[in-house]
Amino acid sequence: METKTLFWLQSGGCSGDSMSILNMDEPDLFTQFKHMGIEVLWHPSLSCLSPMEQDQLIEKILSGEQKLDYFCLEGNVALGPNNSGMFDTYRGEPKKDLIAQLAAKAEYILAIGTCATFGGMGSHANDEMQGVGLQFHHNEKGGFLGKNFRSASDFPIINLSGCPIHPKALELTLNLLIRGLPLELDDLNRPKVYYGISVHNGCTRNVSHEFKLEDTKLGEDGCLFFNIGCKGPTTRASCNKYLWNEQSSKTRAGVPCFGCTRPDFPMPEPFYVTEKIAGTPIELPEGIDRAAYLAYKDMAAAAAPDYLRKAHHEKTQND
Amino acid sequence: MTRVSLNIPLNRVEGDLDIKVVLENNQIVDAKSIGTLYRGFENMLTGRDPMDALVITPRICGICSITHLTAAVKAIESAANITPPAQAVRMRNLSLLAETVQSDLRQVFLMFLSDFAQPYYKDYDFYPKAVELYAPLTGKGAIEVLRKSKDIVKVIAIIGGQWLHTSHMVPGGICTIPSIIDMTLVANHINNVLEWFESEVLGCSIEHFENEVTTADKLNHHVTQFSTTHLANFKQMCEQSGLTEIGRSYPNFISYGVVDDPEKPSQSIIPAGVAIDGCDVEALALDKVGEDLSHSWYQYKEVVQSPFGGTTKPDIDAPNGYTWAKAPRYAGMPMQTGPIAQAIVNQDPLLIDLFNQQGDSAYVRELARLLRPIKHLKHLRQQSTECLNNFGDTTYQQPTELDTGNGIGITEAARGALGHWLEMKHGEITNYQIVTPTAWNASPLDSNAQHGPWEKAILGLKIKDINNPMEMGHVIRSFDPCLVCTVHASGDIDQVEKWQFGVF
Repeated sequence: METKTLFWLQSGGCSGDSMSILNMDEPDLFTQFKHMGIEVLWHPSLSCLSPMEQDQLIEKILSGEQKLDYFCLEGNVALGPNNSGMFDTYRGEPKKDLIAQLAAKAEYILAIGTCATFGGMGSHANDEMQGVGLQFHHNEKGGFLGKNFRSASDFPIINLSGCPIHPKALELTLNLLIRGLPLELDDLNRPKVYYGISVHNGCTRNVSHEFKLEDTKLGEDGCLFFNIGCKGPTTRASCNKYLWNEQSSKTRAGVPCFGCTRPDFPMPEPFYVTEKIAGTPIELPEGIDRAAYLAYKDMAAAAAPDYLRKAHHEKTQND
Repeated sequence: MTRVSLNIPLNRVEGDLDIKVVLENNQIVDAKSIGTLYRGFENMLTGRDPMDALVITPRICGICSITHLTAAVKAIESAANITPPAQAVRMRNLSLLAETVQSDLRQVFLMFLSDFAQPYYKDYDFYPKAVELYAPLTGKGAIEVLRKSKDIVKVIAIIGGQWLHTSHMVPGGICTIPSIIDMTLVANHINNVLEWFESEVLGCSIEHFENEVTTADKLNHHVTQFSTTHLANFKQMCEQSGLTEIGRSYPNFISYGVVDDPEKPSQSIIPAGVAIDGCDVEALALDKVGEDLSHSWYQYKEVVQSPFGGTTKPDIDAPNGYTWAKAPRYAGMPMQTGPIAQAIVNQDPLLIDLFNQQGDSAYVRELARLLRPIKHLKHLRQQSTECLNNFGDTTYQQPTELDTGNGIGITEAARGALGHWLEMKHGEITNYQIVTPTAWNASPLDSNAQHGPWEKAILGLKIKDINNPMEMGHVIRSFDPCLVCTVHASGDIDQVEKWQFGVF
């Protein structure tokens, strides 16, 4: 396999995506890069270039002398205050300028995490930093680079949302790109291979959901969708197919899904409460008819097997 | 005399940072630490449900996400007079300690030791070994540490669902329900990492090290005996590169304590405290914490604010401002925080002996971090055993609805003292102020013209090669700003003008 080059830049974010990919399995990130033939030109928490080398590297990329296959951006593009970009600077200049220059040179551009993808933390109307994603602002196409932007390989920005990114999302994407295999994207330009199913798929609490055994407070063992704010059924990601740290997921453990791969994350509504209308969640799983769903739920509740109903009832009574 | 002004961008993991220095004959005569990223978290929280702090604040930092979660849940509990059950406190302790061990391992091996594998050191004895073991992305030791660090965070994934950015700590306990099998797996992961730490880092058991290696002389003897350990390598590299001689800052230390006592969670087993001008420890008084805004890009009415009632109003044109970091002070004094502060407040005999001999050199400061997993792994093992022994005890008691009150949540992050100050009214956050460890260490000048701790630590430092100010990188990194230094430097003052920014 031909060696591919990767340059990783951090902007308005928490570095959590870098920390998350360090948990990549199996065997580990460094070995995977080696196996994939990826040469990391620069990563801010891993690389040790001398100052001169780092300067030369950026100059060479910008002049076209150094080929850049994958440009990864972690963090949103800060436009504030007042569109100056001065809330996030690189050597005294707005970092957005460097982002635009590097983006113009890359074969593929990967937006790493929800901030880089959709704006994420600091991207809502009253947020001072005026963060935007590389090619989206929430679910609206455009973002920092504009809806018509294509990288050198004639690709839109590949969006890998998640707060943080799941290591598997990056691993799958790089593997497909490197092997020249087709990378199909969804309507938000995210690889379907990871974002094609909902967080609900594979949750171990599905059996409770199936029979409408809904938790009414934290710390129970049923489904968190109706009352506890879980957005698993309305959020696309493979958290319950490829487990976190190869162990578990928030919803399996009992923490509601906060919808962190969604374009509107972080939502302004309270996180641990389900917003409801007439006793049912306002947001139902994508493409569902409300009336049919309610009818199904009532029938399912009536059909709940005794052992499950009993276990859930005991649990909720005891605590 | 050659006078040179340099702006040195430090790549961040937690917070973007530039260091601006003035050199006279290659010696640093002025230093300014510049936080270059403003995200406005305090203001994002205002008006929200207090519970949302459990989801929003971990996203301040991807390395100490659990630590922010801990501070947030404790702030809410303190505001609402909630005491979590003992078993929940143990599970929280496991999560927090596991995250800190992860951070310490990654910082020491992937971010600090990797510098010794740079060609800058090619003429040193240790260079071939440094390249073999600690070179970025390829060093055998670096890969080993990467694997162990992702092993220890499995503890958090088992208890809380994932690492990072989970929110399983809630007022009244934890909202997850790990099974007894889960808790035995937790114990296994802790033992795996502990065993590796003993054989590869220390060369002996943590008990032996704690009991026997209690002075600088005994440490010398120990590394002679166990000369192929990471500890021995670290010591050799630091000593040969002169890190024992540089990096001293104010001998003032603050630690908020860690491992909450399950029976009395307002107290910690590794105690909180402050030490001013040496190693004498006094009790921590949080009302002495204030933030000085005189040299930060914020508007203010009073130059020193208590976090309660404090404000965060960005103003890039603030007179004298040069950073997004505020300047936390304790009774008006700049304080160092992090593993060295934790060790001194906890009266660790080895670190105190070293401190008495060479002060808070870059070597001593980083050594405190390398050795901290001794304590943390010991407590991890103990807390996990206690969790198993008390398995079945409740881990959540539903509190009454959150309404009105003020609360402070403090805890010890990997990088040191972290505090959240919460004000809530009728179930809504009315003010939220966060004082991070990096703000203590990276703080700017205050209104009494006192530099922040790491500005102070590089004042007077001599730089051999101004194109590659390696010494400065070592000193700053010994504070664990969680970033890798990249340095832009130029001998020609005209060329560096373009990097200058703000008032200097």
